[in-house]
Amino acid sequence: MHIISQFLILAVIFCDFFLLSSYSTFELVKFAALQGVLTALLPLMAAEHFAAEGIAFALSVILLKGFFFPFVLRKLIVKNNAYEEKKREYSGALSIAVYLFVFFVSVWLSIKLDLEVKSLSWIIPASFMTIFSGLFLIILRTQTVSQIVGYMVLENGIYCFGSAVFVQQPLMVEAAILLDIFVAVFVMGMAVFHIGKEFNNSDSENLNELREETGQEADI
Amino acid sequence: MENIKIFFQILVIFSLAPILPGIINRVKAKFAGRQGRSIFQLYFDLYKLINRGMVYPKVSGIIFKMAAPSVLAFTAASAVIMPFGGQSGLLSFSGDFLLIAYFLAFSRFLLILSAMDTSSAFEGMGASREAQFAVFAEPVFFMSMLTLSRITGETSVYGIFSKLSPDLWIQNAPVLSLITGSLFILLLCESSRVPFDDPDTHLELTMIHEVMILDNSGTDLAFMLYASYLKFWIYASFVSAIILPRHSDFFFSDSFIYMSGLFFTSVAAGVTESIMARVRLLRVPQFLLAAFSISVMAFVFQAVKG
Repeated sequence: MHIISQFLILAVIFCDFFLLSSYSTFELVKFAALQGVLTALLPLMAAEHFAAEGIAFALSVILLKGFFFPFVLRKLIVKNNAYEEKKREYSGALSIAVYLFVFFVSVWLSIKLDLEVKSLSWIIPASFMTIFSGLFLIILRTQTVSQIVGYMVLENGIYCFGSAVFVQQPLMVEAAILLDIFVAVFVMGMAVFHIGKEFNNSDSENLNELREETGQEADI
Repeated sequence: MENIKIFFQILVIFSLAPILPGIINRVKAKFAGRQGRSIFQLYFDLYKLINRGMVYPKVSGIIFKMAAPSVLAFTAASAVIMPFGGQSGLLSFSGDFLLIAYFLAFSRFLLILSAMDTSSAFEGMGASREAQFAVFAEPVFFMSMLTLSRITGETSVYGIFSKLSPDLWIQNAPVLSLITGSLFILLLCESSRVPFDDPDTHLELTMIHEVMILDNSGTDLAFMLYASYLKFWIYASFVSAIILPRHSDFFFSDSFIYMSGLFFTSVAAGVTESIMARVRLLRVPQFLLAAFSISVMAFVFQAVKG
């Protein structure tokens, strides 16, 4: 069990790598969903014995993060024609640099925090990495769909951290987080739909152009 | 008895090195639904080339003439230092992996010089690419060896290989799998395989290794090709030693395990070549940077754990 959970954590870290280096929104959704499924399995691996409610909760998380959210996001991508993130010349090297930076900061933070996590040794750096990867996706990407994925990844990180600190999580807290993200995906989905309807694409840089135009009008 | 074993292992390394690329070719052919060439085809190619005369470009000098035998000599020197199965190589001392890395780096330097010596802008372009990729590839090797050295507590290649065991895998499975991954990427890059380079391509603008040996012919070309097979053997040995650590102290069974590891590594390389397209030249450094970040992750995790 211990080796399987170590590999699960490794897979979560690799998902962060692919999320930061991928510029196709379909791939982003795919890796965020995979990461969601992996993080849902982590508390099961860390627990001493399988409880029925734990398994049921993990299944519901897998259903939501692994199937329902990707389904909604894929629909959004197709509707708004938002298949590709805008890629710059230095994008690839920058992604790897950001990834390494995030990795070092996460390891440093987990050493500083010095939490007693005996069951899964790499989970604290992995959860910090996932949280930071989510933040970077929200900050660096311009497609609104990628920013929603960033939000999902951020939540995966929080869930991962929760699994590390409290192996037996209070179901109400977890359910509340899931409800939050559920509502968030819907609200952001609607926002993306409206941006797409207005500009024929879902690039959030459109909003910058709108401001500039208003400025020019003011100058005139 | 020790001398006989070392003589035997050197004989095996030098005689079986061309089989590994032969296995890759065969795997690729099977994936494409073809019968494919015999795995011994490369021996026939080498024999054919050795029997042919050499032609030197008029503008080339002594460097070009010396390059092919020197490249082979330095690569062969690295190959004989490599441990074989559970047995130490011809030389084994603390930090010998640095010697292996620098022998290989020097043979690469000679290869680049010989490409420049032909005065062909085309070969110069290949030399420039080779030098650029080396900058990104060498840190991957050093970081991986550093991590292996930290895990095993040994500083020689033989020491590292002999300390690798199934028990060590159970304790350090994630770190060792990260190292295996980065060394496998390095193997593909250093031996000019897909997705970094294609040994079968002769499409002008995409060649890297092949373009540098375009003006070599006859025995010189055979030397260059044989050196690249030995290089593949060396890097495959690292992967093989990690994925299938030796289990007994019996020479022949350890050798068999080691050879099986080499076989699996070659098959894995063949499968990778079959299922992956070649990456664009501009993306090769990014790919190597990714391998470097994997090895850095392995090192940091090992350091934090230790």
